[in-house]
Amino acid sequence: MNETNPYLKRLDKIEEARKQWRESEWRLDFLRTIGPTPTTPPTDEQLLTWNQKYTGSN
Amino acid sequence: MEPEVHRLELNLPKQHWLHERTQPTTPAEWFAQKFSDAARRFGCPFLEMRQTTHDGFNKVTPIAINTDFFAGSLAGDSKLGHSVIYYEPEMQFYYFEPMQQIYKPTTPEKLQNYYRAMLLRCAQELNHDTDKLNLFAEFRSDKNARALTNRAKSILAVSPDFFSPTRPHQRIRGVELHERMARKFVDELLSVESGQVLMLADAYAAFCSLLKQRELEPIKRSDFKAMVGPLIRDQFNVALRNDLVVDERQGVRGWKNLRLSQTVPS
Repeated sequence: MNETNPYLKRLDKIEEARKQWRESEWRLDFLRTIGPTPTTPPTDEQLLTWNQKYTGSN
Repeated sequence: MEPEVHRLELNLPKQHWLHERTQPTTPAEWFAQKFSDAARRFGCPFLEMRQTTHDGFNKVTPIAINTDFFAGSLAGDSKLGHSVIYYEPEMQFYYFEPMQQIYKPTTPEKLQNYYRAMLLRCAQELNHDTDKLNLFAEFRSDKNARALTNRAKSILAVSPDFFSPTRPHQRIRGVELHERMARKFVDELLSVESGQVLMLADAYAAFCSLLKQRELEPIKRSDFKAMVGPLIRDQFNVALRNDLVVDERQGVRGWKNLRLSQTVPS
């Protein structure tokens, strides 16, 4: 994790959140019913909010 | 030559596993690390046998499964925002969509697929010191998977007011709930009785009061007709007619030889 450059720090956080999200989707896909529209990938902001809410990472 | 040693073990991740993620070395450690909440509550995922060979090598074989742990693990990983519950009034599993913040129905079969996939993933990720036969075959059998979801019904059961308006949990109020209720309505409230006429208006009124009782949104009469008509035809082999005569009224819409019971399904 890059501790000094805010831009790189944010990219690291997004990458970490995306990794968590992929894991989450992999598991949830087993429980979902296949629908007419696939799940839309979240925006960077949505990913960060989701990750902060559940993992508590800032 | 030293004899081969067999030892039964209940392995859990080491002391600092919450803070320092060490690589799991046995299936029990792997699952306990992935589902730490379930491990805390229900204990070790497997009973494992460690075999130390003459030349000092170890082999770990998971020999028995802790059904409570795996049923509990179906509750999902709270760190991912996951939650699976069993709603007894409808005998239905629901899972939480963390992005949409809403519960949606799922089935025991889907939960069983998920359980089997996790076992396979564990077998693939662990090294060759693990005997993978049980992980791949025995524990993934239909019998074991069914036992798991049956146990989960009690472990994941929530109170009947879980989805009530005063609670924070919301579920999708889509057509699937109405459809499920329609099946219950046809299965449990209707019966064959020669000479009787079930009027569409009466059936619709009874269905609406059932929906109200279950705190479901009312549906239009045309939707009710489209949903229930085929179910009645399949179950009782009678079609909706427009030419029935009831109390000297002509052209009444309904089903012949069907009776509506007054007992509300449980």
